[in-house]
Amino acid sequence: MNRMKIAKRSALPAFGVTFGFGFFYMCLLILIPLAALAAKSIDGGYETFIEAAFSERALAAYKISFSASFFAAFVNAAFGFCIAWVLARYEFFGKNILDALVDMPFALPTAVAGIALTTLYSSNGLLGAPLETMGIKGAFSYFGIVVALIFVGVPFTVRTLVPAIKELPKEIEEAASTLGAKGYQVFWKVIIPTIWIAWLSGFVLSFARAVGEYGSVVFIAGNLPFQTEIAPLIIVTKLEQYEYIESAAIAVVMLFVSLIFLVLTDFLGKKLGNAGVNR
Amino acid sequence: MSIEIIDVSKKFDTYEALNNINLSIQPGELTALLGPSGSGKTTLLRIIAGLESADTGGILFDGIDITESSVRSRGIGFVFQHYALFKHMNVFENVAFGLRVKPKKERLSEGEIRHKVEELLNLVQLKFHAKSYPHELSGGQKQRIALVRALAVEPKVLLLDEPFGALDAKVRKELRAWLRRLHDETGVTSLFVTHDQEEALEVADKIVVMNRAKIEQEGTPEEVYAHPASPFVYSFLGEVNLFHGRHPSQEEGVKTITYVRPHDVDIYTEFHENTIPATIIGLRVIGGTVRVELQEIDGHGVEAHISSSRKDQLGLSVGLKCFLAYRNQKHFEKNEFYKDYSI
Repeated sequence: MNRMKIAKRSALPAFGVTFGFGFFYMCLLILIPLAALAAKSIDGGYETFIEAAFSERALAAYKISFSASFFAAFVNAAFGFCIAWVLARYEFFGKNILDALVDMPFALPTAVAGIALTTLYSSNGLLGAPLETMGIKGAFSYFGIVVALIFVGVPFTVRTLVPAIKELPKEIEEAASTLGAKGYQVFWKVIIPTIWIAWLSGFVLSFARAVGEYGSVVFIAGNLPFQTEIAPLIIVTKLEQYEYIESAAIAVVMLFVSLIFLVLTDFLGKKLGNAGVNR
Repeated sequence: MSIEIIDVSKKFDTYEALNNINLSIQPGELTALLGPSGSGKTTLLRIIAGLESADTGGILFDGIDITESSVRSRGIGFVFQHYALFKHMNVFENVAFGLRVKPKKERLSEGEIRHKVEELLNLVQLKFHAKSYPHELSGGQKQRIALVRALAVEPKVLLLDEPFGALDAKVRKELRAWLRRLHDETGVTSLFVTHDQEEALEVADKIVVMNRAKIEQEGTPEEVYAHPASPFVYSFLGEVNLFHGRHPSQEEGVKTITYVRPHDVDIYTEFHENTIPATIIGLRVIGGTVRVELQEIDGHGVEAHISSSRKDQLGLSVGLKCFLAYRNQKHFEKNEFYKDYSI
């Protein structure tokens, strides 16, 4: 037995320390607050919880929040890929500026982004006016929510994809083309299968960020119940009305759905990733 | 298929990779492009493949100009030093890749693809690894898979870029012999890049020695080894002893250098005519060969390779005084381009 223990020792025997410390921090910063939240949500009993968490208005808000986040993450996955590809593969004039611009949503206060986007997309705004002639309402609509969520999510897709694309060996593509593959075949059969886990995690991060976004959306959404009201907004509204239990109930539902989603994608990624990818 | 390379030059920014290369390769030949790193050999191979484009000049396959053709349409197989296997596909799918990406009308049926891939995996004795992923294979296995993957599309030309460069010495030797046999079976015109002169001498029908963006010499292994065209070729193809100004019929003012291979140095314990006195300063036994380090009476260092039985016969030991005779001396005129490549 002793022998086995010695054999398992790594060069840096830091597991105990790092795990203990990490777990302690996790508890302090994430688990305890979330547990408190969950406890608060059932303070008023089971019925109050159900009533608050699954009211018609709350259900509509969940639907808007999760679907808009999904669309935004989807758009980011496509355009983020293009940006990441350009940044990882090519040298061009102004590359540093584009690189920095991608990170702007990380640094910019989301309220600023919300106000800027609202001005731009309102019916007399620079982009809003032409959109309106095409019959699309820019600001104060579902469309506006998606735009704001795209804005905040973009760096997540780009930043996870750039290293993955950079790591792609050039020879892999060359090998494929010497074997007779056309450009699109190289892309779909060789490049995408090699980086899709990074792509998926970029999608998930951008989605998760969008679900939690509040600051920029409240400006552009218009916040009409059942139409353009996102779940985080209901939480804030309830808080302002001192309905702590109700707001906690909605928060717990969002927490639960997000958690399931994250665990599921992680599991999916690992399971499919076992087929030799990313090793 | 024959390959004709006409006046090919290539520069990377200011660095000259190829300077006016002309070369023709006969159908069915196994040719080695041999040279030190930076000599342009890999660039030449990549230009033939279409992975790189030449600044000037052209490439003909069977007399047809393919200089502007895409990589895909050239009908070549390419093997990379680091295998370049698709790591998300198992061995079977890797080999089948070239067959699967063909346009629908040319594509074989699923059953035919299966049959062909299995046949190829048999050829490299990796039938039982069909379902393995590249990361589960050893380096030698990976390179064999890369080779049959290239052969699966029945290329007219097989190009190999330092195919054994990343493998350890023993596997390397095995794969060399295997490549030679495979070439004899398939008869595909093949061109491989190497910086290992032993590999080139052992495997190739023809060796093209390259140095500093130019071809120094081309010929059969015997030719380039026995009749090197330049000091560079001589010193690159094997170990050498180097002497300055020892040409027997040396003219005034002309500087010469003389090369002798270590196995062409004879050691005597008694004086003979035309021998040079020397002292043994080191002995290293490497298997059946003994490397003897000697110092001529004027202080010049010499290395001799003799068999260990010869060493015992002569009773050599460090510090012993003996006499050296040099066979097969090669004399070259020393010019301004001369560079000492001996190690």
